[in-house]
Amino acid sequence: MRVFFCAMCFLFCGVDSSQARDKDIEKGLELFERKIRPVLVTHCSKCHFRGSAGGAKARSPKGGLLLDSRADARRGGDSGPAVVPGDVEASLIVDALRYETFKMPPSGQLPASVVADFVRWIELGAPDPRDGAEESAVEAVDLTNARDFWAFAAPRFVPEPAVQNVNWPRDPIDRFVLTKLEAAGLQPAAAASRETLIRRATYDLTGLPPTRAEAEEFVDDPSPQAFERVLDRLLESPHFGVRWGRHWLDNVRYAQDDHTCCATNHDKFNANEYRDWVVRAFNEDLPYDEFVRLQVAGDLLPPNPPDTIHADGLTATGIWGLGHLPNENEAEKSLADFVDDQIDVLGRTFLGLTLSCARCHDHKFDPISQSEYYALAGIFHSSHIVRFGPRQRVKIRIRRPVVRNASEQAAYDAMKANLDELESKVKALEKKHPKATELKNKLRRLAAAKKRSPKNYREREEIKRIVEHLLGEEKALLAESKKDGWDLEPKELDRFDSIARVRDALRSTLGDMYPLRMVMQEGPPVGTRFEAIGDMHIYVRGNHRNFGRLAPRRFPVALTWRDEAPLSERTQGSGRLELAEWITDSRHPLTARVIVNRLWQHLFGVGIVETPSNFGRMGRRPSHPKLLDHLALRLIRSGWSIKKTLRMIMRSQTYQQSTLPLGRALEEDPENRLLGRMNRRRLNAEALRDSLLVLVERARVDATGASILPNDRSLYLPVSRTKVDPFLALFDGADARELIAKRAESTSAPQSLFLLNNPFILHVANEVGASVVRREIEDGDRLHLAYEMVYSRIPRDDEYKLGLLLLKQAREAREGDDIKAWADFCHVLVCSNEFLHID
Amino acid sequence: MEHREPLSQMLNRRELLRRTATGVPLTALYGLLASESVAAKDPARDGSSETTVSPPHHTPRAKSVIFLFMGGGPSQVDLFDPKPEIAKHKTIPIELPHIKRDATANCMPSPYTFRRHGESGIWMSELLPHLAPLADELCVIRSMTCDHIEHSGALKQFLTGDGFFPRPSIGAWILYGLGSEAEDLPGFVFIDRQVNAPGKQLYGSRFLPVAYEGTFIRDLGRPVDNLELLVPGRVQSNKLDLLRHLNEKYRRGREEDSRLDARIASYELAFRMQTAAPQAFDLSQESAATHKLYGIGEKITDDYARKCLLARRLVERGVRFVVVNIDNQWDHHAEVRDHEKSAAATDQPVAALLKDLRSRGLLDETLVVWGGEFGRTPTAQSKGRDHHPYGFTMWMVGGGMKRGVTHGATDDFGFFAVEDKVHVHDLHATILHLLGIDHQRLTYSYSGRDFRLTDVAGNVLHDLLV
Repeated sequence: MRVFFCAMCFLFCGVDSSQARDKDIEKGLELFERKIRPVLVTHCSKCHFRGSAGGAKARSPKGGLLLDSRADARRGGDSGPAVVPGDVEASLIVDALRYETFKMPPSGQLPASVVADFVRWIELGAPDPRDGAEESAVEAVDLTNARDFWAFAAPRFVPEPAVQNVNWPRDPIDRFVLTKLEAAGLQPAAAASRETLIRRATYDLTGLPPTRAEAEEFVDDPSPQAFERVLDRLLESPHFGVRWGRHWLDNVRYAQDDHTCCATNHDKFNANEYRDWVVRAFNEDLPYDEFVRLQVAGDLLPPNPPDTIHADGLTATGIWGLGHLPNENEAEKSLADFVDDQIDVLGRTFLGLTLSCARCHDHKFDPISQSEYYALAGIFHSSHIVRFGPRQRVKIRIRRPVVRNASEQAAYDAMKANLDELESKVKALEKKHPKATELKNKLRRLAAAKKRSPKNYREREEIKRIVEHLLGEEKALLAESKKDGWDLEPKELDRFDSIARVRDALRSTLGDMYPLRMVMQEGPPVGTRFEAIGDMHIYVRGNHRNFGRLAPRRFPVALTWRDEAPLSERTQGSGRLELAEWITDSRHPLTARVIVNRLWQHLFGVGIVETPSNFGRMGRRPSHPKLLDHLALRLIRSGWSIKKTLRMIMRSQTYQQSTLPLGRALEEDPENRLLGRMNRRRLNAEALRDSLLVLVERARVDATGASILPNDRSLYLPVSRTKVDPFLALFDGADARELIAKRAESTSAPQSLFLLNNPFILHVANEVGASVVRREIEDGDRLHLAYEMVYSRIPRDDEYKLGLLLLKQAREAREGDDIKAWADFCHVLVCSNEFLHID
Repeated sequence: MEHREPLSQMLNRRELLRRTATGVPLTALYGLLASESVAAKDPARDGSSETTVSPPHHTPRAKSVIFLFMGGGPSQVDLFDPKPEIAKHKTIPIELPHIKRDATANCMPSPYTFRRHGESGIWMSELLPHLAPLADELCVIRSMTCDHIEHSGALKQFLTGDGFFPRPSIGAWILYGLGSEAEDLPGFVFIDRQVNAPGKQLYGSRFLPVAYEGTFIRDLGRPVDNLELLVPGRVQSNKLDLLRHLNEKYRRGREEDSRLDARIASYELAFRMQTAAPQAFDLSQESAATHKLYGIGEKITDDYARKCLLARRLVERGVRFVVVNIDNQWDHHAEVRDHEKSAAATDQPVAALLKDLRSRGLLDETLVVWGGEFGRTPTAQSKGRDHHPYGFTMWMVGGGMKRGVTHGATDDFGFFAVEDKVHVHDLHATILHLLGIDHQRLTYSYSGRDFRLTDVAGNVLHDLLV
């Protein structure tokens, strides 16, 4: 077992230890760390450290003097060496600090104690650990070898392999799978039954169970095209984007808050816009390359028509703002952490690479050098999504007005002026008649609430709550007026309502024009030392105060297919536009493979590469490398269509296999890496909750036909980093503090306690039970109905018999109470493994 | 690289074996709720799943740990580390560290009298009258250090090993390494008034399987969600019986899938927990004398007393790791004398816990650790003391620790630890060691590299072990 750690433990290897003054060196080093380094960083770095004043200035330090490495300090500047070990008088830095020949720092002389520290340090031999050799001086990346690794060479066309059982394959996919099975002496599983298949496909594409009608139509349709019709229908469902959008959001640490604000659907964090765009993108089958391009550089893409704003492009860049904002005292440290988080998303989510490993040193396993990390970091440091005020901890998210053109701007200005005037009028009246205006405001809101037509169940309940609340307040105010005797209808308020109404209307119009968004912008964040778009220096050992060489912005050499000039020579911009083009180039070795692998993983439970966000050397090797390449090339050929690719995979025999193993499959391939059967999967948190909601709807509206509206689904629950939804957490929902490439599928007693005792589950069971009993039908038919509602299928003969027996038992336990007995029976169906798993 | 099978799969296979051997789905030993099994097909969220533990690594000295967490940072110079030199100086005549907060250099002598106690002569101040008679049981470490001067970072470092990045909690590591012996209770319990700033991170499992996460208990009245039975007991047992039949039917032909068995077993455990957990949490089952011993019913001690008593009841039932946090109650910036309140609230309950464990013969197999995320400055910050990670006191008792020992020392002013410095990583390494785990071998592969609780550091404090 190799054990290795990202240790930052290269200590002082540059110190000349041949001198016999070990003790002095030790003392001197301690003094350097405690006294000297802080002074250099605080008072000298602005003019004499590499890159500290940003971009161009860095190349010509003042007086030709650099103080940010041992060698530079000893070499000195135009006037001579700044530091001469052991010789205080020859060390010009002491001269300058004493304000003799030179006067440094120019802002004012430092205290005598500081000068004394420098004197002492020089006497001790001026030991200085800042060795230029510590930064990654040598590019360790060996390109010839790098491209030998499967993931770093572009996907290659592979002819379909020959198979013995020529009758089985329906799609080339099946040949790639079958050939490996046959080589292992195995055969594929039988085809899944139609009722299993429709449930599987419906959950896979929409995250919901099929209605009885949908299941029946497919089961009764003998046509070989029946399943393709099912796929077409499901892919067009608005629920598709809800399901697949959530898969994507797992990989981008989507939450509606960070520690600076709380999660609500009011969306202070502005993440809803991004989430809704993702759902829309999947529903509209936005080509994946465009999907990536918009997220990486949507703000830089030309809008269409040109006079407009590319609203989707702006929204899509919100991905870079979703990260957790570290709360450090220093803006540069916060920024470095924030950018690291962005590079982690870029690496793991888009490229399947752990790029962040190269923050402190060259990547230990993959061909990514530290300077290549900072080459990418320079792109993100040249862009910003948050603002760092001077020494200010609170980060303000960018709020960009979206005004489409000049005439809209003029209209906006006029309306804004009008609104301001109305606001001041309303405020004045409110101040004068606080109680009466409060009552009027409440009544107006009440009238508005009563007029609203709810779009879904949740809204209906919400409106009910608001109305009740307002009615209560109205009553209280009326009672108060009687008691305290204030005037309900002062003359002055005659026109108050109409003014306020106009004000409200204006407010909402202007609100529409000015969505508040997390948006990425060109140019570094203000309030940091980065002043302009440009390259950055390597942070030696990841330390934001210790600058190494300049790292010209470019893409990792191992992942490029031709010599490319550094970005600074190709663009005035940050380089995100070029970054987007690089990722989505069809020659990129990783992009297409990574996304088809994710699609595969969500359909089969496990990816062809089991580590979906790590295709590097420490990731797992693909089980079917040729199949992966085949799929990647077909994705590109389909115009990067996610829907077409999913359809193609689901059409295959491989996808349509039963979960039950055949022959020696279990002994030979216990983990099913050869795909000789379908993997059984547990409903994920959202699918489970949505299915329960479907059951409630079916009990209320239509026993087997009802479903729920997209807006009612679990995707739209508040998602918090700090206050995690207990249900989602219990059933392995995505933890928004992490990039979740693959959800856990845990089985825990708290889950079982929830299923057994939680009032919500009991409510579902009671509703379903009651709806079954309500029917004036025989027990056998009720059983039939209960199975259809919960399992989306009819009971088989033996289940029918068992069910009636169990029902009898339930009735005895409930002393003949039919309603309760049926509720118990339905509760048990909901708790059962069949309901919780997808076969 | 040597290939080991993922822990979860070993577990499942073990579960299966047990099933076939006895015919009864006995519960497993791992997990959040002791006997549940982790049926995650691949426990690592990033897919990398090589785990390397085959516990224990050596014969354990302790079975359980109770961490009496003195949140906020108690003052070493007012409790355990007398420094008469402070009173002789106006300002502290030593070089102060580069990183500090708002404390001045002005010396602030402790207003409390110190005495030596027991045969060991361990120093304690008058603030700890209940603990003092137990001096000869304690192993006092007066040279603790950590790397963070703010609560959040220091708390995270003490409970997860790292103050910067999210890492699994020490309790999660221990469950991952050892599992729990509790049959029907969580294996890792975190008792606190509220979730502190770092929140779930303090008891979370981060990249370890979620099942190892701590169970957070805020309200002793309602310790675990969904325990309350809303239907008559016989109705529920009937439902479980129906469920068994349905699941058994579904299982036919799917026997290879241990997750289905795990679910069946987890219902059985849930059922048992409904009885067991309320019992474990029902302090009224203890005698009046015990209540009195801990200080239950006394206004000032009641809260911490209940938590300490609960901790004893939990370890008695096999729970592996219990944190009893007193949420930021020791953080006295403004008035040093506020230490009297915090001491009064905890001294009697803590001493009672030690006596209680001892009289039940549990102290040998239970390690009790007392301490906060840092200490406090010997110098003044207004009338109080500021955060102080450079040298402070903790103590450990039982579970294989030497008794009546004072280890390490700070300088003349109680500022820097100067002798036998003990870092948080050393503390963690020692706790793991006493439980039978080699901290260097308890690793988990995640995101392309191996992680461990102690990162690349940590030395077991062998000198302090029996």
